[in-house]
Amino acid sequence: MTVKTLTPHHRWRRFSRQIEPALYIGPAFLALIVILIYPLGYSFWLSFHEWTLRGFKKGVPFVGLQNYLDLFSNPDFVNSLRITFTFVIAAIAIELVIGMGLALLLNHDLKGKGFMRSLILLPMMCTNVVIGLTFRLLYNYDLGLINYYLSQLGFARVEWLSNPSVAMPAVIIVDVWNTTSFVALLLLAGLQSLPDEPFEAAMIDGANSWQSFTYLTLPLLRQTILVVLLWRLIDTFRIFDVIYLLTAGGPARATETVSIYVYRYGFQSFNLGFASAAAYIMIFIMLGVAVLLARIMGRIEE
Amino acid sequence: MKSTQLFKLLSLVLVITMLAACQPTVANPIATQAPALPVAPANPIATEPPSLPAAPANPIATEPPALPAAPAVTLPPVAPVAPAVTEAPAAAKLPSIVVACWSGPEHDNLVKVAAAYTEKTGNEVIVEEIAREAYYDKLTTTFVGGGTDYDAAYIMSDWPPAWVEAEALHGLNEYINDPKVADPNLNMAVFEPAISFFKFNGDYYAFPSEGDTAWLWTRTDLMEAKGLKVPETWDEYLAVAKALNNPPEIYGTVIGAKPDEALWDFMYYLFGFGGSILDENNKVVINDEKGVAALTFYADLLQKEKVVPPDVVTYGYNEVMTNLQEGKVAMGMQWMAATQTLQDCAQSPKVCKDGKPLLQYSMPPGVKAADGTITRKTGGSQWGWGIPTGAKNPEAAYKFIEWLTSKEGATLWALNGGIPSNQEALQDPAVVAKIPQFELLGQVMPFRYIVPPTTVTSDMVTTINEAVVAAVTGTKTPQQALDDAAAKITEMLTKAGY
Repeated sequence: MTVKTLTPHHRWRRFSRQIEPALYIGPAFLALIVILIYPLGYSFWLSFHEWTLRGFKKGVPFVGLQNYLDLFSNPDFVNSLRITFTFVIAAIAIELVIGMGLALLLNHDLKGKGFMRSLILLPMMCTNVVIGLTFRLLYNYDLGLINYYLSQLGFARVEWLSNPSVAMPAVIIVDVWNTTSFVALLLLAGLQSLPDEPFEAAMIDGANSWQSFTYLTLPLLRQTILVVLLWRLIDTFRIFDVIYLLTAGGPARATETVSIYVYRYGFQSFNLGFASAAAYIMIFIMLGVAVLLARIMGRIEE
Repeated sequence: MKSTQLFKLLSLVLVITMLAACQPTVANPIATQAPALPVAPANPIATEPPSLPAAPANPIATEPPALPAAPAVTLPPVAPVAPAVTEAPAAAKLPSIVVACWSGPEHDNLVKVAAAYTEKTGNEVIVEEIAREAYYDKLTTTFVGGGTDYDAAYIMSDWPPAWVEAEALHGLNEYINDPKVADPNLNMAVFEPAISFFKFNGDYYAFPSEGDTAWLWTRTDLMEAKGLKVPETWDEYLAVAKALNNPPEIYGTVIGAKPDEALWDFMYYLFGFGGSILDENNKVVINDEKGVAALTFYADLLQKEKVVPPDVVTYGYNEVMTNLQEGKVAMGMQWMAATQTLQDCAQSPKVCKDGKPLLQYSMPPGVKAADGTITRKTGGSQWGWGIPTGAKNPEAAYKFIEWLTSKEGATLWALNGGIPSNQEALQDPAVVAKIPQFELLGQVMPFRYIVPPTTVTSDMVTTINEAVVAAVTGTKTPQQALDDAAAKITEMLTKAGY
């Protein structure tokens, strides 16, 4: 057996080959650390400390889990969690139902299908700030177009944004208007990728449209539906701008989601420790739901 | 060269380029005009909660004598006056400064007055406009974070206490007491009583300007048509509102109970009913009998009497203004600063007839005592010009704000539509002749009360906003809403060391 000793040149080549990947991904990783990992880590650290505008220059004392415990005993935070879940569940459910309807409609050979497809994408092209401001005008009690047409049709004007029991549905309508088109587009892509054979076989066996939809389309589309669900879940959980522009979380906290609660404590009260803890609770909930959905998707694939 | 080696070389060059790009840019020493002025050391006094100014603590204790109600006054709109600037001897040119101001008339005014300053001194002033909604958040994050974006800013009296404690605001005594910097004619007495809102532990943190308060606005044509008098008490106010209420064409009056602005409207009623937020010992008294009576009256305007538009929970300053301008409401409390807009037929054509404004202002309503005397109190606000500790050119900023609030600068500020807090300018007969509403302002100011400036005032305002909206929307009774608010404010004050 012969032992081959490495020359310095070979050693250097082996070393350079080992660090080569690190050099390639290094800058991107550095950028990731600066813009994502550091703020995430710092806000996590903050959530265990008391950071207030008045006192932070004198020190940021460690308070353990106090911020988290205070949050769960705070009725306003519990209310914001309830509001967030109401918004997420209602908005996603409506978007899925309408989106599926639109996708099924566009999946047929209709005249002007291409034009229709482009048309339903229009809401997606608007920025959230424009959407919020536009709907604020549309919902205006006296001058808004919606109330104008309601009154023309003989209905009473609605206090869209000033009545606590109407404000949440009004906000949900805006989200549905904004994102249903994209839900429809994703579902349409899923529908078009489905194989024709099972549907042809079902037709030969005498299955009607409803049976084909419930026994074939929905089960075959599960994967796509879960992807849409995951995306919408993350998106609606963190909604801020549209609601802030429409109601600023009001009236009487009727539309105050966790994001708006975090903003209030973080950038109006400047209690960053408390706000960070609230943000992390939201992240943990989102992570939990996302992991659950990912597992379901994995099982379906298997 | 092999392609893999070429690829490696290129990658290496790319990495080096990116790392080089991350290096902080070294300023060209030749291009630097002047060394940055030293920033004053952190104020050691600010480590304690600033003491409250004595004036607004207890309105009841300092109740001024009841004033006779002023008759409604008709005024021609004041035309903007071209700034007339006196020539000054040539002085060393100061570095240019950036001054932050929120959007609206104050910004427009500042642009004009700053131009006059530049013309006079040759010192450049860059005015940066910031949206009203984001103004406080933007200034706080910049100031507290030590940002160098602004050299001076337009600030409200509520904000400095927390900023002073966070060492984010520059004390002005350093310059006021420096004969090389301060104007030899500087007299702090001309800023009384407004300056007291910006004085903490002996140090001044802003020069005051824009001391505003609210008046009652009424539609004289509608009142005359029904033979009504301008209301002098809150009972009369409600009676007139009911008499003129004809929805949906026109509502009797208007309130602005938007979630983030509610207190700024409700305070006219709170103080007007004799209530207060804190007493002289910083005890929360907003939920006392007078406070609850005020909120009950305020909420009932919507809930019970229905004499205000149904969506007032979405109304702030702008919406109240629009309703008055559009003739959708017959009455309303509105800031004095809105006078020129409301009485200008070009800006408010729907409330003008034959070139004359139909909206007239008068004393805010009061409470009638058993002997028939009427006690009036109202809310207001006080603004000023301060310097953040992160300012790049604090001395140049000081020179500007000192001039801006001097008799010369304050007169220009007034003639362009502002409300100076320099008494020499405010009471100058030449100024009053051009802006007659300053006469009534002088009568209202003695019973103006502002939200007490504490280190937790911002949170206090948010809490009261919530209580007002809860009562107006009927989600809580006025008593419950104010009790909850009082408990929260007490906790805040206790934690802050009051």
